[in-house]
Amino acid sequence: MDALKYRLLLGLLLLLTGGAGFAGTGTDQSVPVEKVRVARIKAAFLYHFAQFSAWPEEALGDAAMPIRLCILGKDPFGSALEQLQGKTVHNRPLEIRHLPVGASARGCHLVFMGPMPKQVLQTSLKQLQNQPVLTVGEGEDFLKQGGIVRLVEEKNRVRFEINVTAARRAGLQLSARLLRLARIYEEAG
Amino acid sequence: MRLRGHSRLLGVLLLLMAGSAIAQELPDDLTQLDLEQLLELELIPIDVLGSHIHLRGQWMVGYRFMHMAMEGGHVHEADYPVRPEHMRMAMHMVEVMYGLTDRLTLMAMLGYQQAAMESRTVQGTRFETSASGPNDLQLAVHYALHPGATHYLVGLLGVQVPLGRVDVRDDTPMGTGQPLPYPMRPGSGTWDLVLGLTSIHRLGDWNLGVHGDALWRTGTNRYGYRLGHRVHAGAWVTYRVRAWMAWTLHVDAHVLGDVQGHDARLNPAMTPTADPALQGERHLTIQPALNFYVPGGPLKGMRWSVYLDRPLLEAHEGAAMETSWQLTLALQWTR
Repeated sequence: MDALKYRLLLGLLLLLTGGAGFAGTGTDQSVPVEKVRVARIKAAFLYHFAQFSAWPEEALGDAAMPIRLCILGKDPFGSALEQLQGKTVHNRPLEIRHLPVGASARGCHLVFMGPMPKQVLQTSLKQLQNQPVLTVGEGEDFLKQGGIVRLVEEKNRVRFEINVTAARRAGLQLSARLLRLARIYEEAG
Repeated sequence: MRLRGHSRLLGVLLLLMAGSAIAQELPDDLTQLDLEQLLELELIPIDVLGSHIHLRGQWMVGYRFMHMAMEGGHVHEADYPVRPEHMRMAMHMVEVMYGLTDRLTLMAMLGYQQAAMESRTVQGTRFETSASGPNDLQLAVHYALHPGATHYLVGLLGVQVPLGRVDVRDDTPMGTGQPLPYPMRPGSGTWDLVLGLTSIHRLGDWNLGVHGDALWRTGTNRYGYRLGHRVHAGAWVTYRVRAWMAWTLHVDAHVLGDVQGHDARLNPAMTPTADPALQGERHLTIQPALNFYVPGGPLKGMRWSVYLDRPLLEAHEGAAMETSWQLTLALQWTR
């Protein structure tokens, strides 16, 4: 093996090395394909949560009224919510609304609570306590704070936990199938 | 003849994979899946492009078989009374990885080596020696320094436990039960440190990786020597052709230092493989490979890799023998 060929190959290796290092900078922002995938899976869960929940008649209004899915605070779904556009739940159109942090979510049927300070979350959950609103979040203490459904990333999959006490308090009826697949949380006392 | 044998093997592998060739792409509308199906979806798919880190609670079991045939050397046959002519080496390596956290993966790797060397004396007598046994055990941790969605950087810190035998013997024209030279020994006899860094950039169907590691030998073994330190660098490009198949092009280079000290039982003037000053090498190869993945069924998560048997290019310096061909089959199962 002559020295020139060896150097040429070493140059190629360095070029690839440099290329990979360069390619590795800042690409998370441009093509976060895995993040989009995770968001799409979670958005599909929201749709199913609405399908397997029953609200009191008075919370739904007349037959033409939509089921409102609200994203409270920072929206972690982005374009993943597009797959819910034009869908119906319980023969009613599904309507998606975005609400700023701290806004009232009354009038929503299902609220996903995005990342927000603990105090703000607590206040929002308190406002919705005893209201027929299915609250969904991801924080570790979400159920302890009175939230109803918590999405959990575990072993590379999405799992969900349900606070049955809070669901009962809200007057929501969750299907047996949903409860069978969930991890059940009951408030003490 | 040999080529035909390998083509057949490749054909069988392709047939095996074809049975599982159902692309597991996500549908555009995931609401069409029922809840049970959603619960089964992997957040970060384990696929034909593979992964160097494992999420918490995830296991990976790997097996790698490598067969190498080596020829001659660079040393003038007149310089030594005994000249190595051919060497065959088979390696079976088992690797287990476990994700302790989403960023920290534990790894244990153990190989078993079978080597046979054919040599010729200056008088023209040919003889063969062989040795086999486990290699040194490698224990390591992989830590994701940057666990990005499309780019991640993984650090490696490990130790090689001297499990492999250093004292291997066989009959030669010089006598029965003679100690065999350095390349035939499965172990190093020293505790060695391993330090490495891997950068992987994933962009759609492309996977671009760079890896570098160093093996630092510590102390000397009980025969009064240590093997040379080793620095290895590699880069690869993988392209996913189908959900179940990808090709890879590897460029690998390593520099191995000479043996320091010497085993007093070997006569370095007898054969180049017994000369501590001739054990270093610089090696560079470009190797194509095919990777297969089982996307469903009971074997879901299994990855096969077939490294084609002849390096396209090999730069080799030092007295050690040149690889004339190599076949590697790798199998990984992640659960």
